[in-house]
Amino acid sequence: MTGFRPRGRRSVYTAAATAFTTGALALLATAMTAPQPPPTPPASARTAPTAHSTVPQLPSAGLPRSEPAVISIPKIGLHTPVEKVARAGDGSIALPKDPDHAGWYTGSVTPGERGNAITVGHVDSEKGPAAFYGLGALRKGFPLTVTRHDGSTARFTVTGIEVWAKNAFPSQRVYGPTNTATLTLITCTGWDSTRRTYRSNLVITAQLTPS
Amino acid sequence: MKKKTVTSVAALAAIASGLVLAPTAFAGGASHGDAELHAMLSPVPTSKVTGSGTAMVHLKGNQATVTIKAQGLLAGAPHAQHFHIAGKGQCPPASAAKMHNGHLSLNTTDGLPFYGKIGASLTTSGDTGADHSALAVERFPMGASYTYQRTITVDDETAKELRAENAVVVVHGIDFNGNGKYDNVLGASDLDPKLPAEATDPALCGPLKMAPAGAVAGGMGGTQNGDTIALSAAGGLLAAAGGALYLRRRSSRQS
Ligand SMILES: [Cu+2]
Repeated sequence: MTGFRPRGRRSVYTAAATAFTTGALALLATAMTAPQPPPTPPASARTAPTAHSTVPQLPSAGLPRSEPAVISIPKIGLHTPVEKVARAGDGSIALPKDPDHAGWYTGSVTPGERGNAITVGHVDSEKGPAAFYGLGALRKGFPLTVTRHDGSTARFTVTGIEVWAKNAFPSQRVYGPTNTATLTLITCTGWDSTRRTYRSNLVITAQLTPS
Repeated sequence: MKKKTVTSVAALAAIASGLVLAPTAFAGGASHGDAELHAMLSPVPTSKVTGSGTAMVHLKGNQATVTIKAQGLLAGAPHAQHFHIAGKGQCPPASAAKMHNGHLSLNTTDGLPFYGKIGASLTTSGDTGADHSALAVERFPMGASYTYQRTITVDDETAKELRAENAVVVVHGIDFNGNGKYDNVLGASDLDPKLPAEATDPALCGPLKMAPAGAVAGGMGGTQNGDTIALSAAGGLLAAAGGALYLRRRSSRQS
């Protein structure tokens, strides 16, 4: 090989890899297809723990009870089956066993019913993007639908995007019952590259669209 | 492609040092004796009520901080409200209704097998006992819509039943015949014959259930292997490998 090739970080990386060959080589194949970090929620979503909801709660009859089957958000290419989840030992909502599924918390109302229907999902697995990978790209006004086991479709509009630090999470605000048919979607955000964990939760709220 | 290689190095190093996937601990509700309970309040069947509401209870020992939002009730009238306990932890179905003064309706007694006896009276001031304040109409919220918030001390049995998810919020006072006031259309109250049944019949009901606590652990980091991450995570490695880097660059240039 001859001639000028731009040298810089690329060479550095190569060298670093060489210095730690065995494992690096083993993982090279995976790394070559490594996915990009998830989309970032808007800056306005970064909240202070003291912030308080001022959204008026208007009466809403909502839909009859029916468990959710699929959540679809066409604008971000999200189409994911929903499985049931309960509380984990620490009191938090357990995540779905399948990272490509969303989880509906069975202690909450069903999506479309009056009240706060709570869903959770992984932003990524150990291998790559998971069910709620794209939630950071949601913006207020985006439509989303939940198809339900009774064959009906509950249509929602995104009304809230909030990011809360895990260590200052306002549980009552996020999980509290609502007088309107509300859908809450929660996933992780705020990657901490030092601790190699997500520091925050992204909390999306949506209201049932009058039909 | 080579960029990504360093990512793998960083990931390996992190795994080796146990940094990856360390579970994040949150203060769980139950383990500290604190409990957060939520309820959706819905109209009691046959009550002709079209209102709704929500209830939240934060229980710390025997201290219960109660928030109730109700709407769509009879305006200008007091609404008795209680924790009912030691029943089935349920609201009564329509099939529990009986004939009262010629009308199929559900009085407080009819619902007892489902929501149980009174555990605490959610008054706006003073005593909150089950016995002396159950019908303290002058100390209950008034009106069609209200927000009630108060921290009260509940007895041991009520605290136990709350934690066991066997407590129900019941708001009383209906307008069965829609004439804008409590009257004797359903006869006298089963709780106090001096009051009309409409004033004490259950209007809204909701079982209190344990709420989730804390944030969710919804990510493993599998999409976080990009350059920036790798660089910072691998900072130490790069520094350590510094000497080797230079040599490697030299040799590759000459090859
Ligand atoms: Cu009562």
